[in-house]
Amino acid sequence: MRIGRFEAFLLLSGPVLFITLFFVIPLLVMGVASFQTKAGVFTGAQYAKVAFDTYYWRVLGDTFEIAIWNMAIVFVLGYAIAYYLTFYVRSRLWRRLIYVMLVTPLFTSNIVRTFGWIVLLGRKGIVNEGLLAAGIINAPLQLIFSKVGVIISLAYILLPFMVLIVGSVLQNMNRSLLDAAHDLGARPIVAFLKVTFPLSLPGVIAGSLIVFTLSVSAYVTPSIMSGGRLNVMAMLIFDQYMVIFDYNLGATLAIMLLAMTLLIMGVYVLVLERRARMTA
Amino acid sequence: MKARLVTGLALAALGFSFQAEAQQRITVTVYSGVWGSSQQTCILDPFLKATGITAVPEPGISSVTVTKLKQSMPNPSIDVAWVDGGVSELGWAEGVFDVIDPAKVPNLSGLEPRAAIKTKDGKIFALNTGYYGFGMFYNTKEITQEPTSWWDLWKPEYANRVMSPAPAQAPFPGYFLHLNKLLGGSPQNFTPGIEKFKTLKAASYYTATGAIQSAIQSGEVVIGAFYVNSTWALADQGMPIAAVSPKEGATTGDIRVHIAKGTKNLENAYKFINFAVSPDALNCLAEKLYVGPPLKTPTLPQKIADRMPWGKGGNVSQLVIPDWNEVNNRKAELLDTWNRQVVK
Repeated sequence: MRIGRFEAFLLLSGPVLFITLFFVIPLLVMGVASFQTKAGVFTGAQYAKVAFDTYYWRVLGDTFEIAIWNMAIVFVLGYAIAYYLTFYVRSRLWRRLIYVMLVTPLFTSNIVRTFGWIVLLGRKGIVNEGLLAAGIINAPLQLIFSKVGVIISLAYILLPFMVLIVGSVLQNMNRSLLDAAHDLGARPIVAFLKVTFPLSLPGVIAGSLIVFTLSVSAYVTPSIMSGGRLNVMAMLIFDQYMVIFDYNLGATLAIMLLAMTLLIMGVYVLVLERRARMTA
Repeated sequence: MKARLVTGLALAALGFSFQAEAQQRITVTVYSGVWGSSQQTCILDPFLKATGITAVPEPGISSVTVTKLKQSMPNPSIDVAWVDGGVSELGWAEGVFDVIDPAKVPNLSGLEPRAAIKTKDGKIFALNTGYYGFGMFYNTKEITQEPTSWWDLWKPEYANRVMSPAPAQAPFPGYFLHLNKLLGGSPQNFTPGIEKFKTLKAASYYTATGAIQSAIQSGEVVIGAFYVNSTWALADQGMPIAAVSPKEGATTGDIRVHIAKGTKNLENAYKFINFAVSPDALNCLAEKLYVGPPLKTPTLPQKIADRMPWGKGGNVSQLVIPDWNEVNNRKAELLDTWNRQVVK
């Protein structure tokens, strides 16, 4: 049954109004500010400054490097968990319990979780103490206040998003295709690579895009876990807005980050869709 | 007809009571954590008791408060704002604070002269409610010999176990410029300070003060630069930590109240800031937070007096307060230089 234009208008007006008020207008305001001086004169000087200064590109590179590592780690772990939940956990209760365990940390503030990681991964934290007791290391490893620390804590925060999205795609998959592959003699690994994985690709794309974008825009976790020895774009933007009160350069950096993120996401989706079409 | 009249009168009375209630509420930005709870206990709660006016707390850090005020101009959602020295001057430059009329703040007469923060042309735009010292902390379990100098942070035995503030922290510019000056630099020449910090083997340059507590608990750091008063507060909670005012001098900052420009509750805002700088309120903040009350004659218990930012036996006039305008003028360049040369 199709709904009429009026009903469609009613249904859409709320979300459209919300997005216009809280995303489009602020984005436009920021876009305009990025082309203005503090005195309100229009200029492209901020963009020229950012474009020709290798420092900003280095920070952008670090930001994307962390996001790509996160995407890869979260994909491997998240896919494995989603696969296990879908194909190996028979009990509904057990499956729900695991989902609840995965989702519960999302109800806690990022700051609290990040401080928790400092205690866990510190010199006297459970990880270092465990490795020392097992004789694997002789001296505590520096797991926090480094790029590794940022990646570990962001991956933990973002893992549930990947599991939930990939899990829902795997659960809705047409299992008869998998049965057909087995009937035709495909080994489990071949069936996975030729049937399961390609069919779960939409979930993988959606999940990894969410992980990537949340990672790129993360501020709290990198600022605490980097120990101030690594900058990501969100930290530079925060500094411009909140420390220097240079809203114009802050807006330019934010637009630069948005544009580059959209570009990378666009290329990523194009490449994956093309590969999916080729294997289909 | 009679029913309509009664309904109309009832609605009018209801509207009047809403309006009256609205007039009896003001929104006040406070700090978060133990700072905010102390402001609530020492000022917001007693203010309600004394005047019947509810001060609704809105927690936030200084820079966020100024940004909020800037974005909501000319109809601020905040009436009174607590903002740190340094950010306070930036806020004044952004035009988010009103001029304070000293005639409407009778308690001003009890404050030491520097507590009324003025513009170059003598207009008051902020009132100090406490000085904090920014010195050193150390883990008393792991360090038996009390450190005495800022340069102890560079000692090889503390390598990779030192915590120092990041530029986003409010005391950072004052702290950096103080050390830079000790090394022969000036606000126009950061090089000595930057070169020195390049050699500091810091575990972390913290952006959130909460990280200190976690880092000490996890054994990650044993020494660092931190608020003297917050260090004592953590010690009171049972952490093996003590504060030190280095022999080269701890740097100083202050927490200030301001009236938001364009507030619709000007009269109550004045009542509030007058209450906030009363001797009772300032002494209470000093006891809870170990911030130095900017009173001409503070009356504090001995234990509290010994933990004041001016040190044992000292007094408020001994504090060296940074020239925040000069600091602010160099802040952008300092941040940029730091990011490019110290942050790897």
